[in-house]
Amino acid sequence: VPGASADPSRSSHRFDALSFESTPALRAYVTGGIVGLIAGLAVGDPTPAILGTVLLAIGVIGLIGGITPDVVVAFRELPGTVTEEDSFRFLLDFEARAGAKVMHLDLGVKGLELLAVDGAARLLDESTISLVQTGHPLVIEVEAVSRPWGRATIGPVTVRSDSPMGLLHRSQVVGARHHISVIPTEIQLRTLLDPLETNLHVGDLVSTRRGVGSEFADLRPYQDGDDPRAVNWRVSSRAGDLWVNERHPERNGDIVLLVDGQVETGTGLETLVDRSVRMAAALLHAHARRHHRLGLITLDGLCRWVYPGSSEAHRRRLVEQLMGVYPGEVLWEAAERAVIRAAHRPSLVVVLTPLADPNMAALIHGLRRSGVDLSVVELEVEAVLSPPVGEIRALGRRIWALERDRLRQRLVSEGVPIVTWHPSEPAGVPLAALDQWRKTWRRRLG
Amino acid sequence: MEEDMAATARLTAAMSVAGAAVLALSVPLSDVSGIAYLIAWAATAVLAAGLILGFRGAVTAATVSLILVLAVVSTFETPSKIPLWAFAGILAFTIETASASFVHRALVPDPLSLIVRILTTPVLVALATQVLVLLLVGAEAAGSLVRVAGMASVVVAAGWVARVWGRSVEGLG
Repeated sequence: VPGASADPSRSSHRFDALSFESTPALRAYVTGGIVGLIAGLAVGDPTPAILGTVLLAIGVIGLIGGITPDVVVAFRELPGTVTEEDSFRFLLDFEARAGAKVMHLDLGVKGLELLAVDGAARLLDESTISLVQTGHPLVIEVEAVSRPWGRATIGPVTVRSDSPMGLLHRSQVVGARHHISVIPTEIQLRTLLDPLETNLHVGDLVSTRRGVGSEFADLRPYQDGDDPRAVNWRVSSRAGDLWVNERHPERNGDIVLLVDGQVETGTGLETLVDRSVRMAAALLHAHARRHHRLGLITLDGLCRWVYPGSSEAHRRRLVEQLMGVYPGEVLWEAAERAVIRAAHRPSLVVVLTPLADPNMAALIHGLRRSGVDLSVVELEVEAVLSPPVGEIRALGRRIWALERDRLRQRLVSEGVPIVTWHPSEPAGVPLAALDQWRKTWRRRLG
Repeated sequence: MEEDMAATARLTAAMSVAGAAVLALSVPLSDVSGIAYLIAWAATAVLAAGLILGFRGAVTAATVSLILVLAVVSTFETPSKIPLWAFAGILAFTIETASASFVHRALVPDPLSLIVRILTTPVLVALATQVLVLLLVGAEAAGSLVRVAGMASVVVAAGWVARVWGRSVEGLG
């Protein structure tokens, strides 16, 4: 939710570790000082002893000045969700009662980049700011930009300061880690898939059932208890008896997205996961506007699912789960059971998959057999793979392509709407094709 | 930014090796100073190798070696080419720049504080060394003016240490 404050409960692992690190200079001063004193005694000349005394004194002073008190750092007005490549601002509260004047604060950002800071601070790099502490609380306004979609984190803050002579580095890790969901840039979808069955909540879909609504369904003779406003007076005057209009109620539907992130890393197939997530984010956003209940199943290193729901908190949970998708391989035995449980009637299950794993085809087959309304967007694999080197590899690639084609044809023969999405096509193209397929199929079924 | 960091580390490393080379060149050339000369240049080589290879102990090794060189040279009749305060100042400069080179391989440099630190500590070390030399000479010569200056220096130094100590204790409270 852009602009919302970060929920403290979403912070994890409070850190408060203090450590000191001596510089090479400190070790050199102390060791050199001791050696100088001993050498002065050995050679019977005060010259090395004088130098040793001075070096030792510098080392001791450097040690004394390095002890500084705790600092307090806290983030304020952190957004829970931001769109990728968007800049946003948040506040950083800083307080240190005494100690070193110049401090470096590594804000521990991942998936973000600091752009600018206001106030007494100075930006050193994409994660670190430098400030001069005055002994009074400071409020620093920080501008950051989000990087490609995913889960960004900020904190804990590593506060680094030097002793007055710079001989001792003091490093303190303070604060908590905050999570920010970076969602992909919104894709405008002109066509959306409608579920065949609706549920009982009010929505935009015209239900096949009869009830209170605006869409005309049929005529029937008047029965006791019928609303007089439903009487069709024109038909009734011709028939000589009372007839009433029957209407279709407007209902919403359940949409479950199944995002398949099971690709082998290092093969260039990671871009398929990126496209799947972008498409899923667009679908979630578009269907949420139509008041559908939304569910999500992600298959990557883990099988995670969220049952259909429609509250704001529920949508936030969906986005967080979707942004956590990364390429990986799931345990199929557990995943299959979980998917069957989460993707049940009357949901429309939209599967986003490269269909690279026969287990995925088997899963779709299982869902189809259990009567689940589903549609499959198959992400084109060949276009993102580098050309095979050598005859053996080319042959292997051809066999693999044939195997995938066989799986696709098998699903098509079972009546599963499946469309291949090429990388050059916008996201609306496969959805339009699927919508056309489903309408034709529905007409064919009558 | 990484290139800047690397540039800072390289620059300070070169300055450090240059300082060590100056100290090695300050060793007087005489018939008996060969071993001191050798140790001084070995220390410079060790420092250079440590800075290139990222071995932090090289700073300590070079410092100890150069102090041993000073100890050996102090036994010669031929005096060093530079006074003790200059030797101390250049040694501190060598240590500070070498240390800064290591530190700024990992941390983003703050140019102002870096320059201030590299320049301040050698000046302090040189001044303190000269004060101690004067104290020593004063003790030997028993001159009242030198004694007064020496005592004043001790009082000032003690006051400075007490101030730093007081601040750190106040900070802890």
